[in-house]
Amino acid sequence: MQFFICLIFLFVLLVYGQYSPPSATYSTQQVPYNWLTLAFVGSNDYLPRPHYHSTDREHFKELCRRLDGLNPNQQALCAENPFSIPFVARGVREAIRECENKFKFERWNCSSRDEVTETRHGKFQDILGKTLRSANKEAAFLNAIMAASIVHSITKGCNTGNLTECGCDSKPGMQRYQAESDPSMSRDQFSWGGCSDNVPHGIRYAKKFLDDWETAQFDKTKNVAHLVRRHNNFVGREAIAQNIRRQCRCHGVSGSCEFKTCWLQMQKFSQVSDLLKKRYDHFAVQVTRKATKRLRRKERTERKIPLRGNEMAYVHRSPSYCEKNLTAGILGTSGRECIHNSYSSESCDLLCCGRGYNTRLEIRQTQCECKFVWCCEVKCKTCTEEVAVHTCK
Amino acid sequence: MDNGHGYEEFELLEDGSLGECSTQVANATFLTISKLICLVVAFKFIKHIPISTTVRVYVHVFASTFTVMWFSRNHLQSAIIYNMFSLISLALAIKQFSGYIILAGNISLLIALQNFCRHYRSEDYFLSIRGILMIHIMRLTTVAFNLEKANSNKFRFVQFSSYVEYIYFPPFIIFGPYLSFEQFFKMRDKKWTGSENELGFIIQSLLAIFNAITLAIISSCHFEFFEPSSQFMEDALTAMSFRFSHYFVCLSTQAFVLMLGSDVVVANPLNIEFSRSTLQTVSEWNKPFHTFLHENIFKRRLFNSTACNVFFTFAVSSLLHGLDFQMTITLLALGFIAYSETVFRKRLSARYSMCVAAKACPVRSNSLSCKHRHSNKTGRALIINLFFLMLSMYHLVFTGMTFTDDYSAIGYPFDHAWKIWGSHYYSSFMISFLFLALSKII
Repeated sequence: MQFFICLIFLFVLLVYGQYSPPSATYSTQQVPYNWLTLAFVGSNDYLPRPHYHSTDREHFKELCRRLDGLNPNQQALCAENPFSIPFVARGVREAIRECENKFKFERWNCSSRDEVTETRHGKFQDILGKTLRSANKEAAFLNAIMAASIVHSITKGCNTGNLTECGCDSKPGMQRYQAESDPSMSRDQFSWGGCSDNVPHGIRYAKKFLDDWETAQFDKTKNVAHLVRRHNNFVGREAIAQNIRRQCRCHGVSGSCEFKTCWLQMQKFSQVSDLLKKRYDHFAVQVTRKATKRLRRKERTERKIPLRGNEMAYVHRSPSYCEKNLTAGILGTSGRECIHNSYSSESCDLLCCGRGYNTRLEIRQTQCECKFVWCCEVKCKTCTEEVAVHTCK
Repeated sequence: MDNGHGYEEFELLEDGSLGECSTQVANATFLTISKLICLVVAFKFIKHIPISTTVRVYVHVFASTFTVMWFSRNHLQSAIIYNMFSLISLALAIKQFSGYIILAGNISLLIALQNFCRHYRSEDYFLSIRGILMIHIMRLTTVAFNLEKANSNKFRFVQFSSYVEYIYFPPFIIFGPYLSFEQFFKMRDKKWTGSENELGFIIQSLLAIFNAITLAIISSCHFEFFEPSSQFMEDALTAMSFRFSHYFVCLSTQAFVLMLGSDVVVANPLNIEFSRSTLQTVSEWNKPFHTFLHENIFKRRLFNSTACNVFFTFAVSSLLHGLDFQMTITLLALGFIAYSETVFRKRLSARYSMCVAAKACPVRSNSLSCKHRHSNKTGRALIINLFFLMLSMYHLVFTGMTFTDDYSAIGYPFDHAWKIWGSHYYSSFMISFLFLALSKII
């Protein structure tokens, strides 16, 4: 009788022992730092309410802690400025959309296979994480456009008045801006008025959000990738800072311009991404794998030339992006749509990497025979047409 | 795990406030106006001081030249250009040339100057002195027509000095307004009427200045008050910005003429914003400008046909801006819209005997209402007039929304207006063609 009781007791112990290891493995799960996951920040996950007292820092710290992917510097900045995070998130989404738009016809089309990890706060999707950490040319572009998106969205937030710690630039004359046609314009009869974009504030925020961590990590590990990321962040910020224009409202007799009130305005973000794409295509520089204080060009004859503000930097050569490589997060070009009679990057020969392409007929509906109907509408008929669609093998 | 050092490194961010824009614009506009107010006060006293005619003429000429230099970039160039227009016109006028020839000569000179600036890539410089030259040409043309009318063989220095004083009047050089010859000398010869009356004029002037600066603030800072929720709202705000900038100039100059003792009306913004018709909008936009065009161009009836004279008037009004396609097409558009609306409402008024014409019905002394069966007070006429009031508001948006900020200081491209009007499907033109067609049918 006692023997049976002992057997039952041991069995129960064994059963309980089986369950404890899985929960232990969950609690020790680690995720990489990738602040692009802010793109998923919506009104459900993160909702700093305005009626919370500004000194309620513990509450904001708890809100920010739920944002996986932020490094400790970004967590601290989030706790300090919780209302800026939705703007950063909006900027990230816009930047990803612009990146996909600019690289639509390239082998790397700004997409990757993202690892999804379960965490305490939900799912963590490592958006473009492998590409972002690969220190190649595509990573350079991503870093630059993401830095530019932070500057752009924070500056826009300042203008709309939704960010309480900043507003329009009160000293626009101290900003760098593109003076039109000739420098004697500064002696013109005008004054600063209007809402000048507070780009210096956006730049300071972006530096604090992105560069401080890279500087600290480089000091700790001497890994050149951190310097490269910091430089590419600088390139992204400069793409906005170097293209600020002055806009004026004229006051004068019958549309003349005897007197003007002017303000500063940064470019549209689509123009910024156009500029960064040109720099990716023409001004990307490979740097050495070792650095002590600053980056050096890999080309031996150019080592002493410092990197310029419009040159992106990368360490490793890019893969071809032709074949699927899920370990590196590369999807490959199989199944991509291409144009068979083109001579640029979207041509089937280039995009399919010589593997050939399949052709199928697709019935598409388009609008045709549009007519103006009084008043005031344009009405079109719906036509169907067969279109040959080519996809890579 | 949190790093505590994040808080110590945190930098206090720069504080901004939403009132920055209004404050900056208010300071800037008041600074500009105050310079002109100093000129107004100075010449208000000068006109009461008994000094000889010769000294007065020299004071006016030199003060005007320095005013032009003071307010413009490229001081010496501006002074030379300004006086060149005067010397050429006065020389031609004394030699008994026609007023039309002098006007044509001045416009040719203006266009030549514009091409010169365009060749040296200084379009913005031309735009910064165009308004000054416009009013200058209007005054020179007025003097030319007066000399032509006087037909004087006995030309004396006293008469010449009057003309020079009229042309070179510093308070009115930069922003205007244009005064006709009679209006100017009525103002100049006005006696001191006592401190009470002068105080009333000063209070009226200060009120006009306050309104002017308020409208300038709204013109440049409307984003602080309205947030455009649609493309139409954005277009309406752009048009509003353009109009309010115009009202700023008009109300400032209104203050100047009030201080100097004249009762000339420059513009009443309410009559433009809530206009009975586009015809009223066009004439109320700048009354001195309208006076010049009406008395010196339209009334002289260079052509036999009224339509030709209307077209000629709009052509002169356009060419006074130089070769500005944007202004030309806008003025022609306004002329066409006003003409078609006037024709249609005239037919409507005659056909249905309603008081709905483009101009308000004249009230006769022997009766309390006009000759039409449906007077202003009946419901039907009121509804129709209300419809045309709102249509005038839309025409204001349509013709003003092309004056966007991105090109206003350097000149608009050729197709700028068409592209923006296309986004509204040229609706004001469609409405005008419809009115012309309907006026043939009914």
